[in-house]
Amino acid sequence: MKELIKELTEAFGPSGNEDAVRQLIHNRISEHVDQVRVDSLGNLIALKGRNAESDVEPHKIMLAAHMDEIGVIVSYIDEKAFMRFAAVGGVRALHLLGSRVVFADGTIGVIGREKPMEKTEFPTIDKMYIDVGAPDKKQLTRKVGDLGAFMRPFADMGQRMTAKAFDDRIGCAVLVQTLIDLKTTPHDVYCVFTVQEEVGLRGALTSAFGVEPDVAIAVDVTITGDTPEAHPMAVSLGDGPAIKVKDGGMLAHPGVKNWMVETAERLELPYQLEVLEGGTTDAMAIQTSRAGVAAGVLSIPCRYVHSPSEMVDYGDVQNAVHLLVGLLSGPVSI
Amino acid sequence: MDATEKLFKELTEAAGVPGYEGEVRSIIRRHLEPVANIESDKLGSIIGVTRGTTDSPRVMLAGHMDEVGFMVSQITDEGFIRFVPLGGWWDQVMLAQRVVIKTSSGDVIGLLGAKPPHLLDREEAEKPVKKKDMYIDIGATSADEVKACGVRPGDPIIPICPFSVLSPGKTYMGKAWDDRLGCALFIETLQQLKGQPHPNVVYAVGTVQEEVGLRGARTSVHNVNPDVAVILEVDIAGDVPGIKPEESAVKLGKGPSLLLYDAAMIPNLRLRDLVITTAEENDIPLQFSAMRGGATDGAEIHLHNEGVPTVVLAVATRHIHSHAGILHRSDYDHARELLTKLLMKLDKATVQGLTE
Amino acid sequence: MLLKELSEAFGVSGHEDAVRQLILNTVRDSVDEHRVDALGNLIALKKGDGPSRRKVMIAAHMDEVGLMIVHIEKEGWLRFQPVGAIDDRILLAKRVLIGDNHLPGVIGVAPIHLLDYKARNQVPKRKDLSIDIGVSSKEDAERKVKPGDYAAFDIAYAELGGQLRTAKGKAFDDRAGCAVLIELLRDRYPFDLHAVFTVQEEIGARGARVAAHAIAPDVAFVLEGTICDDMPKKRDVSPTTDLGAGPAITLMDRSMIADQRLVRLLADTAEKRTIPHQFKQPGRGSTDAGAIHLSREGAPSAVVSVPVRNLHAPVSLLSLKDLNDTVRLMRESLYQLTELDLSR
Repeated sequence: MKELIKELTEAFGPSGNEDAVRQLIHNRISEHVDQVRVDSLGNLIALKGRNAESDVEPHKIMLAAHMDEIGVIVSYIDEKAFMRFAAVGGVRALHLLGSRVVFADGTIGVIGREKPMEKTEFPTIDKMYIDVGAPDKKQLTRKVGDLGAFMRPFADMGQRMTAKAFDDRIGCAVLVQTLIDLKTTPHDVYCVFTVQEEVGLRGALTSAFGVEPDVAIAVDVTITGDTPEAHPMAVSLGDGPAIKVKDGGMLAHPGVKNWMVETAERLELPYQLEVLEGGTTDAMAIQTSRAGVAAGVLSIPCRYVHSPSEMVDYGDVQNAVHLLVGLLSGPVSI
Repeated sequence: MDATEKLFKELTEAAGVPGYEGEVRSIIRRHLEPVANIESDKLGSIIGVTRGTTDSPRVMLAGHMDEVGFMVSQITDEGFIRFVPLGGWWDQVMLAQRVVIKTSSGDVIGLLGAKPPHLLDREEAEKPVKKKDMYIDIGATSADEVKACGVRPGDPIIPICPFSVLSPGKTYMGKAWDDRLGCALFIETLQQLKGQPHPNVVYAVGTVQEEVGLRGARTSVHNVNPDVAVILEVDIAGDVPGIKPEESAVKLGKGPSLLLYDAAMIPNLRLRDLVITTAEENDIPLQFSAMRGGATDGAEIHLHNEGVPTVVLAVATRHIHSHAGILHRSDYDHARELLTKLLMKLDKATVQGLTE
Repeated sequence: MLLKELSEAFGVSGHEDAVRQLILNTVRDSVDEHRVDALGNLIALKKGDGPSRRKVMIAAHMDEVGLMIVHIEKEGWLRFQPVGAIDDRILLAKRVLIGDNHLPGVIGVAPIHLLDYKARNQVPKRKDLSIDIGVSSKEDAERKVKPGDYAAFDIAYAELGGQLRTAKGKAFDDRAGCAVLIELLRDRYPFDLHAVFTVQEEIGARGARVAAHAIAPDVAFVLEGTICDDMPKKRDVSPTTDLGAGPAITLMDRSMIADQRLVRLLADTAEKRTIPHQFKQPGRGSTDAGAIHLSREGAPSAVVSVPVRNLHAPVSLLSLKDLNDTVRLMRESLYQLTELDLSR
């Protein structure tokens, strides 16, 4: 699975420009699903239909992981070809200092910063710019509106891995692997690889309206409380995938949460319970679609979220896949 | 206690924070079953339907079942409980208050604490304590003891406050007036409507998760598909010391209030005027308020499908979003009377006229 | 001149009736069907004369930012709330017209007292301001005004001329967009055109949300008046748009990422037909497109705007040349729309 994860995290896909990621995922899943379509916003919707011979009560289950990553958009180019930019999604200025970004065609840019007024001045995006090394504006191939993503290679550290965009390519990887490992299911499983989550859960909103699921589980990252002087939080790397109870945008359906807990305990898989104060996932948008959907979230614990070097535990990732396969193989009990 | 006071007691003392409204839902179901058909949405909202003399128009009354509370987020090694708020809480009304944690093993009582003032230096003592520096103490001395009581991250936490009739005789103190008041209003209105001919179908909806984002309103309206809606809420009373009339002119005992404007909805102007006329015709006092910083379930309901004419009818309450709020019986009675008279007027022609 | 009438008409968010009536009278003969929905959106249909089955929605909002009277003081002063985003600093001393009878008033600071040096250097907060309608008691005021009445700024439209043919007036955001849409409705296109003059955009794209749900378009355009902050700046950074540089195409704002194929269509059409155009600086503002593109299963959308200086202030400024170029760009792009492949 590490090769799949490497390929996904290194792909280019800031919000609104997920084509490359979608193509990758499409290639990996097409032989494991019954139907694939792409909707008008660009969501990839794959259906693994139910095994008609099963006597388990079938449900329409939607799984969601988002393909987009945070990035930057060029907003202004001066005469010397230095490019001002705006954030696409929750990019923190601190993470940009000294960083490199890459554009869709592979051009590399370095982020520079104006001289601060005082030594202790906090870095802000409006005082930064991208330098692609062009001598002047006339010799530049970039335009206002071009999108850039963090540039950072995937690194296998053994039990742990680091890369940019584990948020949420790790969720995508978990869903892809689940589709591969899940030989048969009594349910109609819609795996939706969504777009534009980072700028407002937009793909989830429209795809949920189209799919109309009974139950939904989003797979996304969550932060941990296990680093020095961290904000108090009950989730730690390596203690298993986290079953979300609440985040900044949504209260998990208690029935879905309990179904996930009971299944994990029955299969003797490690898990943690998660209460996240800030941040949310696609599940928030899915939960209030039409007349409502029983929704929950399976989270992959991740340190340094939204930085160019996020970190996850391989065991947590594999156990997330095992738990999903277990949930989708049996009855839904909420 | 009369029937209304008993209902107030039952509703306000019930535990129901966002996402965990089961107890409140059961109470509402028990009261509505004799007078309405019960339906629901998929998030947990309860819908009581009572058909009058016609099948249309569909009138939606909405009051939310959830109250503000907290949730366990982490158990410290020393046996204290860190929490997150469910809904908005001002830090300054929290310390020293009692709470109950609903665990899978039963109720666990505790109290909200922080570093005691005796140990604070002068500067620290002058500052309000922030939520993130507070904890819940259930009287344990280790994390294991806490876990042995059944407490886990994610358990809901509800304020403790018994319902009381206050000495002046016309006001009441209790928790969760926001918005069990709205629930009481639609229960008693539907009870009153039974057997009385009304020219519409009334859907009384106890919505869920209003305090965390109007979520039950968004999903329940999908099933109700109303032609017109009245949101039943509490209003912020402006008659306590420190408030200037331009900040809020709403007073206890001076009648229910009509919201002219809030952060997420402008009421249908003709419906607003209809409420005003109905109040005038029936000599029911009515106050006006404008809430720039707050929103109600109306925000989601009025933008459903192709739009729904909506107003907010409210009862002034002091000290909402804390453990104990106070409201006036006459405002509730007047609100109920106004609502019932309004429902009698909302026939097909009138409702169509709201949006022509 | 139509822009003059549109600018001077009254329609603060929530009460757009007068603007709607004016627009309806103007477009009635240009469209095949029209209706007004529950929120007050004016939805008009111009049937296509070609084989295309594509449903195209174009929206411009009728509402402007303004004030609502919330309380009458005992001396007859009127307290108010802003409706839509208004900078407190631009309120003092402005003339307003209140209610459907257009009662004149002035925003003063009450109660009147001698201002000391310190007070004179501070910006009065909105909650300390009130409207003076020249009465001296609450009873006199109540005869003319009630809580819930709307007030709009009292500004006359005028053309200032010059190379850019500038005009000044209130509410160019978005009566300029309405003017463009009215012009576009004079032509017939090869597809069904659903023209929507929306309500309550300024307070959250509320009209657009329900209109899009009803129409369920395949593709949508929004016509706006947008931020133009091209005054001289100390640092070399981009103005959001430049007056006179032509219609501004949105790449990304706070509420949506424009569909890239539509952006390319607009930019290519502008190049081919030599129409001046610019790109709005990414990341600022939000429009009806935010609500429309997420309606139901989503609809590819784009926004084209006329640059407007002093956007949410009483007196705004635009270039009539920009306005005409916006009409040209949209018209030419719409004719190219049928060839555009929007499948995935």
